[in-house]
Amino acid sequence: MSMSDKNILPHVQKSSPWILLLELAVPILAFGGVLLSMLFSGTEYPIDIRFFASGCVLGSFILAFLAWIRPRKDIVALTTPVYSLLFFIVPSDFAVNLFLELLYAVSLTILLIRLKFRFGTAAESVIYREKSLEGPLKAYCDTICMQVPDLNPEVSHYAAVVFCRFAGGDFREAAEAAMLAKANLVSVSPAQLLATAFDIVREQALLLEESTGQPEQFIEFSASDAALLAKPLPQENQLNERFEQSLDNALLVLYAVAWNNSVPDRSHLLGVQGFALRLLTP
Amino acid sequence: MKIGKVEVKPSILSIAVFVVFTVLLLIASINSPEVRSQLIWLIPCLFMLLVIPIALNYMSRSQYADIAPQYEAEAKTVRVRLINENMIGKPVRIEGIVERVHFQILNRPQYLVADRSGTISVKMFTSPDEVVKVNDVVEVIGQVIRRYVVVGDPVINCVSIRKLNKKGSDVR
Repeated sequence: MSMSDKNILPHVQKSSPWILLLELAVPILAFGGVLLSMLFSGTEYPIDIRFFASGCVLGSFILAFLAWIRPRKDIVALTTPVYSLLFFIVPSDFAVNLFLELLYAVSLTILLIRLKFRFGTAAESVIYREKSLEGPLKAYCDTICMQVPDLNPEVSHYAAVVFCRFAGGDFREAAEAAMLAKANLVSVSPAQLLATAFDIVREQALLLEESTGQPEQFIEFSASDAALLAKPLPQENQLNERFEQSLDNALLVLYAVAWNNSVPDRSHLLGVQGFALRLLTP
Repeated sequence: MKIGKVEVKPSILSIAVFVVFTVLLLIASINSPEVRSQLIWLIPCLFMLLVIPIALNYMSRSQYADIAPQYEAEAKTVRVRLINENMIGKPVRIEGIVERVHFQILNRPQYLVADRSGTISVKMFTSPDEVVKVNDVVEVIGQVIRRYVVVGDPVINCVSIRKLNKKGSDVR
């Protein structure tokens, strides 16, 4: 992460302490409730066991939350709050006893272990992922940052708008923003690369808006731009690949330029980084 | 079977359930006079096992037939690679080759459709107009949704799927 990133983006540790705390809370609450039930069951004034079973209920909700924030969802862990409510809260014919509470606490712990081993760590969660750019995209943004430093913030903002509109399927708006952006490109260096990127996106966005197929002639990057592109330029005879790769490269140039130079737009760009990563894959 | 303009296609599973219960009822009524005395309501119940799936299929197919023209007018033709989670709710049209088909017998077919740029799951919540098989080149019109309603990768909720007279090499 570059210096500028450190100042702007919240730093999230790989193993967040609060996640560890929540993971620990599941067995502590569940078995804590069992322990308290055992302690109070022998006293002169026994308390309703359902009161202590609230530990299991709370543990279930925490387990469901831990399952929710993981990239792969565990449907079993996600539904535990429903079972906890059915077993311990909703009035039913069967009696809530210590054995049921103990079995439930053991089940929750097994589910927590299963969640940790089979469904990845919570540090890989969506929350974590959205705080920063992922490997290959970050590397490409850094490359562009070195080659296209200190770009006009207005142009960079337009680049962000074009990318976000395009990602959202608003092709006409993306084409209009690309046209506006070109008007601000006069004194930018390297103007040609950006102008081509905006032109490619505008042309292809309009084609998509009209649901028109691939034309015989279309705007492409020149060989001199190749060093700054995320994907290599295809062979001359690969017409389809040239057409599709032009758009991928153009969008990625705009994403990188926007990321490096339009800090207020970064939250929006993080929201569409999944699409950028998809474009980056060969 | 055609009801009005809608061709109704009950799933093989519903027909199988109906057949199984018919056989069971037949055996039970032969062996037990008590069951025979209850046939007056058992037989209508048995037919409900067939009528309800047919009615549901009719309703879903007629609704799909109603909304299909609207989707055809609004959907943008896109490449599979361009479909992403920011397009949730947008009507799209893709052309591709069918790589896998699941759950056809449940009348809830799921296809894996591929074009040159990638693959995407296409879910349909009713029976399609025509039987689509692996390696068919198809045009899919539908809405981008998440795989599990609120979570999961983007998939297409298919409103219409039809075979095209194209070769696989034209879309790959």
